[in-house]
Amino acid sequence: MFTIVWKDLESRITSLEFTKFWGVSLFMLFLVFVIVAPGYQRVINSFIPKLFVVMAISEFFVFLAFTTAVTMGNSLAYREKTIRDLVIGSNFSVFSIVFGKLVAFFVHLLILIVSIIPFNLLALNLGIDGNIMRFLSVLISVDLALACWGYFISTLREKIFPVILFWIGIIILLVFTARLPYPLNLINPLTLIYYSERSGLLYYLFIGLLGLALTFWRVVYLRRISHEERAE
Amino acid sequence: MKLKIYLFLLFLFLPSTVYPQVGIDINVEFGFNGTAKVGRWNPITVTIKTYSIPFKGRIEIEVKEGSVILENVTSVMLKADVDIPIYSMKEFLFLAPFSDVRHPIKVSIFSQDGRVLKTSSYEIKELDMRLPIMCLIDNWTLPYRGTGTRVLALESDRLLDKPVFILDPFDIISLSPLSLRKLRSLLDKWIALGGNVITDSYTDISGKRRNDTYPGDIDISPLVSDLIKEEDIPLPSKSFVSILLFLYVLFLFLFLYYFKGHFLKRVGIYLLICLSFSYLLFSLTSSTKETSNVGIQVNLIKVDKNLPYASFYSGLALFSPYNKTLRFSYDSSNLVFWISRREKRIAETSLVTEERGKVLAEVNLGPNKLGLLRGWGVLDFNIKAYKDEDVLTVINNSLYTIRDAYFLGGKGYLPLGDIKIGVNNFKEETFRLSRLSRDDIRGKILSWFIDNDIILLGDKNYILGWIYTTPADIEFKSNNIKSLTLCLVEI
Repeated sequence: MFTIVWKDLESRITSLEFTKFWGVSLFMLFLVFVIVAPGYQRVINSFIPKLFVVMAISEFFVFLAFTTAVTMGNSLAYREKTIRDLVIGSNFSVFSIVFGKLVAFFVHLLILIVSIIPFNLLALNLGIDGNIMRFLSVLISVDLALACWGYFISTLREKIFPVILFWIGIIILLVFTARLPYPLNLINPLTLIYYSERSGLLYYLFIGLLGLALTFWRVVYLRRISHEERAE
Repeated sequence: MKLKIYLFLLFLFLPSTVYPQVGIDINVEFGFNGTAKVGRWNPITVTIKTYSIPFKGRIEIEVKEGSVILENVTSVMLKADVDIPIYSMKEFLFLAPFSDVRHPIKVSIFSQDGRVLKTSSYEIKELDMRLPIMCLIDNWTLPYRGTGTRVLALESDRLLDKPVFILDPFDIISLSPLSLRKLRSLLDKWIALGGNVITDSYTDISGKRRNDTYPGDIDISPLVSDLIKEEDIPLPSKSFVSILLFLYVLFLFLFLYYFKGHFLKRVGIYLLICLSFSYLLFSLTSSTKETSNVGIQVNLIKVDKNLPYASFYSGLALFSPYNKTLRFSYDSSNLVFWISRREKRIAETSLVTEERGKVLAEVNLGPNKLGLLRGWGVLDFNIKAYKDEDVLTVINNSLYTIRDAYFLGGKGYLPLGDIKIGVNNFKEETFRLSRLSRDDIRGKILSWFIDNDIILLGDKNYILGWIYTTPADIEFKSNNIKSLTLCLVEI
């Protein structure tokens, strides 16, 4: 498992494609900050309070793009092997492959989160008090849950249809769940960020576990197939 | 047997649950022995007596105004910390306007751990609204008072060293010349606020009634509420912060793109860059919230011709886009401040009674909430002006130099320049036409006073001038508060 984590991180962090992707993402966050941050304030007509929320939601979308890009097989690092490659072409155990990939994703997510801290701290100082720890806990939980589903999709040979389904699911999650009655609307990550809530994260535990279970099932199935093919 | 053990244990715990009630005596008095007047400031006296256990806690008084249906209910909390040693008695005096019959005034006494020890509330009675109050001091003879006047007898000792607004519930005070000498300073201030004092027991007082002090004949809060909406709030330079942030993004990208070392080294330097810029940007903008507020205080000082005191009216507007508390303190022996007009989005305000006759006002500003207060009181302010043919003499015995003063007569105005402390002589030249500029803030203030009939052009002669510093009796704990005081001396 450690080898998988190490190799994954090494290939991603040294990847020029990934550097470009993250550079563009940070530049977009910078543009959002420049547009939203106030130059001066008139009394009463104040936009300052929403700065932290606007930055947090923008960061959420950047990390959503990162999660989908990294987990669904288009890892932006040409040397990185997908779960499917590892299952078919290596002798690592199923547990090591799935959890190695997940841990690598988690560590990489944490490393990337450090680069958005200046944006959050500036938004804290120039906006009303936001809860940065609560926002990060929402961001990490949602991205980990979606990563489990992304890894499941990466195990499939035909990806176009599942990828479309995945994105439809995300759109439903972001748009339609906001109109659900309380407390079902807390499944919406944007609602969680806007109201600085954490109670909806329990839904993501189940979403993540379901994705993980499907990934395991798929990986075990692929391993059995590959063993049978090798035996033949 | 078990029951006996339980009863014994219950007996052991009994003292800890009942000690706050038996350890102290608390007495709450509204007005004077329950006599209060609506539309005025009334005293609320809380007396706490301790026995063998000292007492630490706090007193909170909630005064609400406004309509629930119109959603414009505002509330002011009067607070005081209590710390009384054993076998002592302490009296806490609060002054509150009894102005809204829809909401009772609620007094709560809390222990140090936040338990409520006593609550009392006062429902305003019909008598409080209708009938005037006459106060007889030191058993002085009752003058002819007409019908319907409530008479209250007090000892002068009870009023000594008390704030002037303690006399506010009274329409008239009747006392002997001896008692008058004893309470001279307090009664002079009260007269400057519009109070009536009589020392002749044969006087017919049936026609003498005071105007209400609360909400007050002069309310400057609508003016400051409008003026503050034209102000800008200072914020750190957006371009400076943006350039730094851009440099961060560029620097990070160039490093990641061109650095070819081991990936762990790469991660280490990457983290160093991120954390360094985080610290730099955070420390550069950390004082933003402290400094980002704006405030305007407009005061009016009307100098009394016959007394060394001036009546003082104040309007104060405070705003910050952030959740923050702005504080200012004032001398409660002469001044009172209260939350202003009953409108929506007014910030919550607490008035904390401190030692040495000071009150600390705490205004909890939040996004899109305006702190709006109005104040009344008397100031030690001794300026006299005489006009002898074409020479105008102004004797300024106050602490302040009056800036940009002019003489305002029925025919026009005459600029006088600054009125310095001491004797100032001005020679009257040709009057110019009274044409006030409404463009600058002083012109706006002046024209607002004229439009609201506070300055009566044509009827009287005045000397008008400005004081640009905060009056000595008020101290702001924050910067960015603009204070403008219009000084009005009637000739």
